[in-house]
Amino acid sequence: MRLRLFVLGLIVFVGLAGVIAGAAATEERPTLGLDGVQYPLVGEPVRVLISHASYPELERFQVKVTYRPNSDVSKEEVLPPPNDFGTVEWTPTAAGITILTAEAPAIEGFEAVKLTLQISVRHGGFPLSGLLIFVFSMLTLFGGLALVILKTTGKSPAQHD
Amino acid sequence: MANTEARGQWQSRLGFILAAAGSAIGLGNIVFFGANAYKYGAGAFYLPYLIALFTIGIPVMIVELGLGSLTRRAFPPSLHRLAGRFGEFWGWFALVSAFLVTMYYITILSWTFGMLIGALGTLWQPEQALTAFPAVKSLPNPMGYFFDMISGWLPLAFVVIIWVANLVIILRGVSQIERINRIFLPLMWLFMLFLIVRGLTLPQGLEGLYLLFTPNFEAMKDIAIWKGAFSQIFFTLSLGFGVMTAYASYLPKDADQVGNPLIISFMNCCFEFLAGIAVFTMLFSFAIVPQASTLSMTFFVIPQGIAQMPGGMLVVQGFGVLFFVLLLLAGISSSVSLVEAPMSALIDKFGMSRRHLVPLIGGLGIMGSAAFALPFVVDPGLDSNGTLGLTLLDLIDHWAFSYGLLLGGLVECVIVGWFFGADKLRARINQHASLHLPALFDVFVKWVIPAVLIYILASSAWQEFGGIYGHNYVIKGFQPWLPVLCFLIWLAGGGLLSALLTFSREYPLQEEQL
Repeated sequence: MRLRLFVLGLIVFVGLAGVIAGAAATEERPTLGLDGVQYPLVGEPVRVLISHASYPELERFQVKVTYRPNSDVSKEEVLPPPNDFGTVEWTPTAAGITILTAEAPAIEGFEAVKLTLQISVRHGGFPLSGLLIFVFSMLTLFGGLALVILKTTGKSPAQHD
Repeated sequence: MANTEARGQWQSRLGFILAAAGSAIGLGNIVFFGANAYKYGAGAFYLPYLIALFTIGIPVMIVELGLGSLTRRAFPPSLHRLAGRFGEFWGWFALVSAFLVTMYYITILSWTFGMLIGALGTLWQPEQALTAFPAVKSLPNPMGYFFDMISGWLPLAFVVIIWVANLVIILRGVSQIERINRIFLPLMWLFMLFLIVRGLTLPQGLEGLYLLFTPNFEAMKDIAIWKGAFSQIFFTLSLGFGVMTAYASYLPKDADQVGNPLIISFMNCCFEFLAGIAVFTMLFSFAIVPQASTLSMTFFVIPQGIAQMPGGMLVVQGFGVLFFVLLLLAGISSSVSLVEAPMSALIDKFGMSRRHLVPLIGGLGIMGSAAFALPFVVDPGLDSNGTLGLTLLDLIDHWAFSYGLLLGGLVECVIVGWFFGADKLRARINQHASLHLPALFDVFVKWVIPAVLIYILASSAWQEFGGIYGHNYVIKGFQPWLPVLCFLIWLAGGGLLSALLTFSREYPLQEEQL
């Protein structure tokens, strides 16, 4: 009976240890995030958080922003290295889809780390130039369509031989 | 009169406009526009796009429709009447390119059909194991689902289904095409409105709208953006393949060939305007980075956005099904016109009936589309295209679509502008038009459009000298000759077939004087 209890206790202990170790391992994976903001606003500073986990040298992280990746108007910006708390201040300079990348090289005993985060930077309102193009294209296309239909509906729809 | 009865005729102007707009509005409008707009800087792309619509899109649309209703013949015989066998040869060459495009377009539709089935369930699982790609093992969905599907044989059955649907529609002639488009086109608009409303009501969805229209004037100085906009207009309006000429050949001679092209062009671009908003709201809300490729937008990027929609699995499945049904409707209404273009040309040339041509075109088409669906893995690490079929599709698309369309447009403008006379065509069109074409039309057809198209074609050809397209692909077992073979199939094979068709026989009917 005592042996059974011992074995059962051992199983529970090993199981719990596994779960705790697993959870700890999950926590220890380096991550990249923004401090309390999901959609940062162009021109407003935001804190980038790097949870470096077991990688020992925070200052080795290079943080980079790619605005509008995969496009012909793509541009990159290198941010300063993170401070002791693993944060970098970043003020987005362009709105749109953006990729944040934090990279650290391999050092003795530690593998290289590459973290990426895709975020959308907001304009915060319709910029005047955008509004003008929106209204102009809508008027040109939908207005043009309506005008042509009105101008040409006087004609008989089917003029067969 | 007897000939009109044999060829068929649209039952109404509305029916014709819906069919022609259905032809122009295809997968390209829903996904390719969004991909291109993103690539070229969204707002920075929109102004050149609108300029391209008025300087190239509408004039070439007027030329294509004008040719059709003036001659009441398909593309090659129309050009034959304007410039003899030289014109006819280029007409056939454009149709051969169009038929190659039709083949892989139907393969893409068959994959869309497969994705639609997946959208009912398995497509939305987080990950898909890939047995056919041992170097990759698994991929996140929907990309994983797509590559798992195309590395199997099931899409070949879908190819047959989509081809049969197309052939059933065109077997009964233009009246059936008209009937189908009367249902498909309103449905497409309705579905698109659903997607827009959902897109705009997503978290920060409105910001996608701002992103699409806010220009970067600095970027507009880049010639690549203008080139992209002018190409996009050509592709989106289905110009240069003779499809519009074939459709217009079923119109009465006194049809309004200024009003009709304007309505079709505006309708197409209005739909694209809405599709752009739907795509961009989703991209922004879910911070998805797209790639400038129709396939990745269709099968990976937009479904990835749909998968993240709030509201639970049922909502995701509902919008997924809606999106793929929308693609199928838009795709089939376009593919029908692509099949009709060679059909009408062969009827005109050989006097054969539709009933006899359907098995011939269907048989060739199914074989071609099946080649683009071949599941053999030629790129186990998925560095390029994965399967042989997708690799062939990419290579043929580069030549038949990117070059074939522009070449077709260039030739028709040169023939109309320099052989027949743009002023003569304008005078004939103005006879029955509610809005009259100004003399500026002649300048555009003779000079501006050919100059722009020659520039785009030459600059693209110049890039080929760095290595023929696809030479740097991973195509295990088919390297280095497959990219060269695909180029030769299009250029030499297309040229030879066009010459054979041109010189095979004279046109059977006595033509009236133009």
